[in-house]
Formats: sequence, structure tokens, C-alpha cells
Amino acid sequence: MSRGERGPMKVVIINTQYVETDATSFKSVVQKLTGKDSVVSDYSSDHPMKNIVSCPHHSRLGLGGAILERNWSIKEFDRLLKEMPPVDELSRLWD
Amino acid sequence: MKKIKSRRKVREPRFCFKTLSEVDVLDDGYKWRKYGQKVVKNTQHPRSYYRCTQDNCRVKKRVERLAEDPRMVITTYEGRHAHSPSHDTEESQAASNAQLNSDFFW
Repeated sequence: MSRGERGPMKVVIINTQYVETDATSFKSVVQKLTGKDSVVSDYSSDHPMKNIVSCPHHSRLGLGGAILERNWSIKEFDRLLKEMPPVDELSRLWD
Repeated sequence: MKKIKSRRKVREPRFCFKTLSEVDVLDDGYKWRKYGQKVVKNTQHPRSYYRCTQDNCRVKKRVERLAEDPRMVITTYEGRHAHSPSHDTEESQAASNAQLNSDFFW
């Protein structure tokens, strides 16, 4: 684009996160994401848990939100999963 | 001679909500004032622009309907509030309780 005298090129970056919710959860989710103490909007677009957050009734966002707030990277999450005991041992521990 | 540098500006992140609703403007616990309206192509539903009415709070939102499915309301928020939500629920709860009491015929 020839800009001539109009000055340097201005680039505006807009990060949008998409959320689906029902009318009853709407209020609480909006406050969670845009309220005073919101943590989620601090995340850059490279964060693994970006983009689509879906919360039908009760927040699956609750779970996602909890993980997000701990600031875990995918690497750390993977390590946690690897360190977990095998499933049958887990069920024995459960009893 | 001035060097021409491109300026990058990062806007506050946006949250785009998709909700099934007959009501256009859903209650989110905040107070808003409408400052604009724009006709959107290919749909009879205009887009409305709102600003948070709290002092020093610069949150904006826009409300429109999804062209492919007009049952869905799209609410896009930009920015974060600098204050707690205005919970009128306590006052309206008290008011509705008073109402309830006066309706009984003892």
C-alpha cells in the first residue's frame, strides 16, 4: 500500500476468545472472564488452552479455569500425567 | 528525515459469547449505556454498542445476532472492569420478599 505522507503503518492486534454458554450461566461466566480479578485475560494467544471454551451448565470452565490459573504449561501437565500410577493401582488406592 | 517504523498496538483481549436467548441484552451484573448502532449486512438485526457506566471503567461490549441462526445472541466484551459488578440482587431480593409478605391474606 502506498502511504505517501500518511505516516508509518499501524498494526492492531486483536485477540479474541470464543465462549459458548447458556443464558443462565452467562452472568457468572462473563464476570469470571471480564471481572476485576479475572486471570484468564492475561494469557497471550500462545497459551495452549486458548480459544474455545465451552460451558454448558456448570462450567467446564471451572476445571479449565482452575488449570489456567495455575499457569501450567503443556509440558508440566504431561509430566503430571506420566507420573500418575497406572489405572488398576489407582482403583486399588481408591478403595 | 524521519524513519518510517510500523507501530504495533495490542488491544485488550476480547471475549465473544454465543448464547441462545430471546433477549438481546443479557444481564451480566454490570450497567451499560448504548452509544451506537450499526446496520449489519444480510441480516435485519442491527449491532448495538455499549459502554460500562462506571467511572474510570472502560469496558465496552457489542451485541448482535448470528446471521446463520438468529436465535443466538453474540455478545463481545473488550477489556476488564476496574470494579466489582453492581449486584442489585440483594436489593431486589429484599424488595421482592417485602412484596411477597404483603400479598398474603392473613
